Amino acid sequence: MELYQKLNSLIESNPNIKELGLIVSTKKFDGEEEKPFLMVENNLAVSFRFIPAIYRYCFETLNKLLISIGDDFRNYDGSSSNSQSQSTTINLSDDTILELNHLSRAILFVNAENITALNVRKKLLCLSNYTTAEQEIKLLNLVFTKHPKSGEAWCHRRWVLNHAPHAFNLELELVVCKRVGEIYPRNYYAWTHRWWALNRPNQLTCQNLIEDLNRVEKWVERNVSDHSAYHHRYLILVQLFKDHVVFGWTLNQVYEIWTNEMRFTDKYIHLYPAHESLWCHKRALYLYWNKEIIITVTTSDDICNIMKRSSQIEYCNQIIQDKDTSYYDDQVRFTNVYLKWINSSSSSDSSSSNFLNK
Amino acid sequence: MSDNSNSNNNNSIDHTKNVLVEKHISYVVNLDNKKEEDFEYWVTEHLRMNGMYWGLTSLYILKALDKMDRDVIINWVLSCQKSNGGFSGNVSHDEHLLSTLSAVQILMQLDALDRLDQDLVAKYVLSLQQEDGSFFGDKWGEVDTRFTYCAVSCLSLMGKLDLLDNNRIEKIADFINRCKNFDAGYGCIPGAESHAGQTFTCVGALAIINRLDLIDRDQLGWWLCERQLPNGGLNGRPEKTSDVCYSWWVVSALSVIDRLHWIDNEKLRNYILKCQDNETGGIADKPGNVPDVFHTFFGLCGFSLMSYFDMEEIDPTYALGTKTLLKYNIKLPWNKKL
Repeated sequence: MELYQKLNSLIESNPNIKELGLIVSTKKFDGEEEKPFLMVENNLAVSFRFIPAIYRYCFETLNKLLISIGDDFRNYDGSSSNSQSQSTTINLSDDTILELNHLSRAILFVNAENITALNVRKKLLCLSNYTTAEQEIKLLNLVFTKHPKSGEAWCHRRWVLNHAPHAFNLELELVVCKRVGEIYPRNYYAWTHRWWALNRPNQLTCQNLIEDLNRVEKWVERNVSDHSAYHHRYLILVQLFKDHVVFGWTLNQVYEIWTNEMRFTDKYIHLYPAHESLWCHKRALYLYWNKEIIITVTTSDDICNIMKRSSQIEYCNQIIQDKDTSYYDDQVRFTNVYLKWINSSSSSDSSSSNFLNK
Repeated sequence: MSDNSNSNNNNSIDHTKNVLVEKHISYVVNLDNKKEEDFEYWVTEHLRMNGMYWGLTSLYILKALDKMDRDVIINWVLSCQKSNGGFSGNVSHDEHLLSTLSAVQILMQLDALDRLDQDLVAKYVLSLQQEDGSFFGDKWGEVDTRFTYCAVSCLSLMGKLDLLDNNRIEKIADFINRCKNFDAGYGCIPGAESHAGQTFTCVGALAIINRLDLIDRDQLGWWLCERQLPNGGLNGRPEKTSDVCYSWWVVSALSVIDRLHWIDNEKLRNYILKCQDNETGGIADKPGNVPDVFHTFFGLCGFSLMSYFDMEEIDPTYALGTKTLLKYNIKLPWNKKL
């Protein structure tokens, strides 16, 4: 109880907390006696051994409060916030709203997967103006610094942005995806969210796609083994092809960006041998090109030569001959897997499928 | 249960070669003794329904289901049902499709499906289906292929799949198909990267609605094979580290499409064995890590699916015992032994 109040006053008096963390002991930081909380330059640290008590207090208090409020609030689904029946039955005092807000917030700091606490916050957003969607997004940014892999928190974020479309800002979403990806690399949730954000109404523009392609290029340069990032690039490239007419692009522009991507991948395979992600990306580019794009190519388009099967086989042979490369065995293994895929795409040869067992 | 005196002696068993059956049983049985003073208790408390399912099914595989107090569990499960038919992860939580499936699986495992108002559960599940064939996970509207699996599995286990007419089944199949990538793997929503866990849910859902024809078996088989690393373990996506949980996601999907022999079973078995905890029992995500019930279940599933160590057989689609499913007359056309 006392700890919970202390936590609340810390949060309220420091509206710009940047990061949330658990620490084994506060002693290490200031040498003084063990304290439950520590603020260092806008970072809030909570001492590990106080966590169960705070969490338990908050969750049990929240449950008592929910029971006293009654089933109408428990069962409320947000859909009819304007209808007569709902607004008359669910009548929360300002104190109750504040309490629900603070309790659920403290719970999420410890466990962002607590869907009941997340749902309380959804209901509050529907029923009251205690907080805005923008503030909720800000809170989630803070929660992600401690819980970057919380699927439920990402899900809550999408709900907030669906509920209050005006709070959506592509730039902010891309920034949070990047930051969370830095905390927990190869983060499936963050990359899925990134594509979701680009697919929001009116966001799938040529400019947004190209800008993001450039941003992710910088990311890939520092995170060569992040397959999710290549997949994201692939999605952008496919979109640029599918919508090229809408975007006012010529097919040659499409070919150029696709072949550049293949060259970029080839270069990186040389620079950073034996990264499966790069080989998978190469495979995605090759397979999509030869399934969907090739039918638009006329024979005189030299620009597309790199995407031909013969060019790819030649590239693979160079790799296999480059015996001085580091991680040579793994590099050759991935090269052979790639060759199998590109061969299987032209003939469905399933008899050789057992190659990985060798 | 206290068998400390025994377990000290048992440390002489080489866990890299043998499965620690007795220790796993006591590990699972003792899971419920977690203390409310512990951090661990509170960060898993909301997942208790899933945890109970993982624990019970582990015991089933180990042929020790009778170690649990059946009535207590049934009553607790039923106390988690909400007025709309859905189940929550624990008594004081909100309902969700994920915990609803676990609840149905538990009751089935304990032969207590008749204690359940199945029509109400079916109504809840159906209320979450969307026009495009996807399913919400709960009333708040998140879409994910995991929820599609939960929905069709739940209905099918209760013998209520026919509540979905052909048109709806077609839409479900269509949605799953939209989540398929060029590499033949599946993601959580259309466009999302292939992920072995999501691939299992999509393959499982397609198996249940009898649309395995939509799967490119060879290509998917390849992609799943590529998940095996030189250490024998499996990962879920390219360049991720191996994790015991994929002994379920990858191996079950391979089993359903009849490509289990494409990975090195023996190497995977040895990897799972190394992830066993020789002191406490239980299986961890990676060798040397702290075990948990989730990975214990998935590791045992791996042994069962690959037919090692005389485990009870688990079905790769429904994640329940084959015998349990047959008792309820559920068809398992992917099971070649039947």
